[in-house]
Amino acid sequence: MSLPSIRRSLLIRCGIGVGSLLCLLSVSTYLIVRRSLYRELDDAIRETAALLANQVELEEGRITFEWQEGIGANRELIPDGLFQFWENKSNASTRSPALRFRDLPRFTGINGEPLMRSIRLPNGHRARAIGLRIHPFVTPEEKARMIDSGEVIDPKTIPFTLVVARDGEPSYRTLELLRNILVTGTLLILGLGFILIQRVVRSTLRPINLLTTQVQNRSDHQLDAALNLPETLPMELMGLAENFDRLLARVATTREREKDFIRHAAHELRTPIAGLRATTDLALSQPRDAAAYAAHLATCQKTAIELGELVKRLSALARLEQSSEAASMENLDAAEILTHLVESFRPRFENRGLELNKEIFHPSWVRADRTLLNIILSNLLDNALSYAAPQAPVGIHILATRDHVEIHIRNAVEEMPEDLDRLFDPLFRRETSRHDAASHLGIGLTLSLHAARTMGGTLLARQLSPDELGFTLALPPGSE
Amino acid sequence: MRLLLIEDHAPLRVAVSQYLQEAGYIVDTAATGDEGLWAAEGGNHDLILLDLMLPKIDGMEILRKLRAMGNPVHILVLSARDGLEDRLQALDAGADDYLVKPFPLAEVLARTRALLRRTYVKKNPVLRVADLELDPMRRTVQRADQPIDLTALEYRLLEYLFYRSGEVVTRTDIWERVFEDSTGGSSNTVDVYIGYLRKKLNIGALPDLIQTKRGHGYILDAP
Repeated sequence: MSLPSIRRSLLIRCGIGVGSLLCLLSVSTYLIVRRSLYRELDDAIRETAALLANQVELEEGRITFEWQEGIGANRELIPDGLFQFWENKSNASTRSPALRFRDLPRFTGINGEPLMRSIRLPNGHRARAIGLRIHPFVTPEEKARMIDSGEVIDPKTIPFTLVVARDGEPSYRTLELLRNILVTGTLLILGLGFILIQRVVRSTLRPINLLTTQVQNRSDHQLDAALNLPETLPMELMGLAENFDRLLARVATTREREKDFIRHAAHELRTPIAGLRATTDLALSQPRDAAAYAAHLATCQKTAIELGELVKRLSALARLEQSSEAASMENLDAAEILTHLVESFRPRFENRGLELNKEIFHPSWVRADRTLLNIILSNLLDNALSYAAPQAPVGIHILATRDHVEIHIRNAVEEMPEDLDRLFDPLFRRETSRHDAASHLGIGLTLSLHAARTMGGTLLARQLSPDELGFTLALPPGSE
Repeated sequence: MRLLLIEDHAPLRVAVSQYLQEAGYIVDTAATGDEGLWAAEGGNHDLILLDLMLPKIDGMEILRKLRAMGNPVHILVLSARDGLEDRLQALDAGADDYLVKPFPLAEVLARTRALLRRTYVKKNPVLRVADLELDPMRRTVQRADQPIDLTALEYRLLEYLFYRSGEVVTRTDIWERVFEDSTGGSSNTVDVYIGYLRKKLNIGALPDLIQTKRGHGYILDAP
């Protein structure tokens, strides 16, 4: 199946539009001219018929045809005139000289009304003709004479059929010529118009082709580079191209983040692998006692566990990114879960001299997945524990709004991250400083963000004051 | 020879430092960038092995600060970043060599030796002064084709003198570069170990190659 084509569609639509207009124009022109010619012909015939209708006279008890007597004004009717009279009773007919011995078709309208129709002349020419019933006229002198003689004849009892024709061949030929000119002209204009439209369409679509070529010809390393928009790009395409550029910019950002992720993942994997390699190299570099081997093996085991944890979290992240069905939603008391977690973290907070300011109202029902909620809250508390400034209070409170239940964890930090959004990038740790690399794998916040989204919630980081950082987890409210 | 290893990943730091120590070097270690910079600013190291992604202060920052201070110490970067851009950036910032993790420890050692030779402008891997030879790879010493057995400390002392052969080496230099705990003790200890070395090197009637420059220090050179 061929794909829809703008060029083909424009060609077809423009072709049909222009063709229809041309046809309409041609047909209208033809009909107007034909009507005009017919009217002119018919008017002339009617005029002749009107004159001839008065050419039959009842005179001295018999019928005479005035035109045969060569009455002055009617003289011009005679040489070329095509007309014929029929006496309806006797069927005797009288023809114009031009007909010689050939008959015209005999017809009238209903009840002898005048009827105009196209006919064929005996010589084969096309003609227009009128047929009507007429009665002889009686002069007042003749009427008086008939009364005097006692033989009054009613002219209505002597009906005649008169058919008057006019050779229309020149007009018909003119019409045929006009028709041929119009048909040929229409076809020519259509053909030329098609070529012209095709060129116009091609030049109109050239900017699209230019953009297409630009997109097609880009090399792998510049797939997400912005388009080089020509100044002549039409306004209609400019919007599309600019939106496309915006899309490319988003793709570039995503690719940059993916690259960062791969770079950080490579680093996070390389470093423990380097540790493993170095430890085994060291162990095997010379014969050692059993205790030394055991110590090296313990180091390898610890590193392997660390690597396993990293891989596990990366897998969890991949699973969450792939499917939102990973969550098993239920009504949970977030206050109870948070209190339990805070208590489990309390000794470590106290060891660091961090004061815990809790404001947790029971119960705070949310719709959430227990495991995912635990992951998020553990990560947030773990981050506060690791990054809070020494001796600074850590604020933990739950707030119920109309649409959400919000869990806030806030603490002062020694160094405020420059780009808070990037905290949620996988394996992102500020380039210039890594905190406690052994325990923080740089993936907890990413995992937490995805877990929050999977449960229909949000997780935001906000700078609350110049040195205070806060995280807000918002979850859909639940019921008891 | 005293080295400084700045690496935050504990297993790697422990393994590299122990391996280099077993190869005869004194290795100071630092787990964070600020500790590492502080130690490096002391200026008594022959070589620094530096990780780039460090807590507190980044390795690149340490590199730039040391060079900005005019510290000429050779720096071997050990990094998980394997991109050309990263390598170029580090070398342009003043690193002398760049090794991508994971690496074999033997290669770290070989590059360490190579950089130390460059430190003291010695191109030949086997160091010679008159008929005295020291092979850093085999960690062997011989004079007039006779092998000489030295303790680890004596070997380190002789190796240091070899690297700086032909120039006067002060007691303080020796104390800082050769002795593991250089914070205490006294210069007499240096004199004692120089005495031990002389005894082992001066076999029979062979001339003494370690000369004393009174008030200055010692010089290893042909008589």
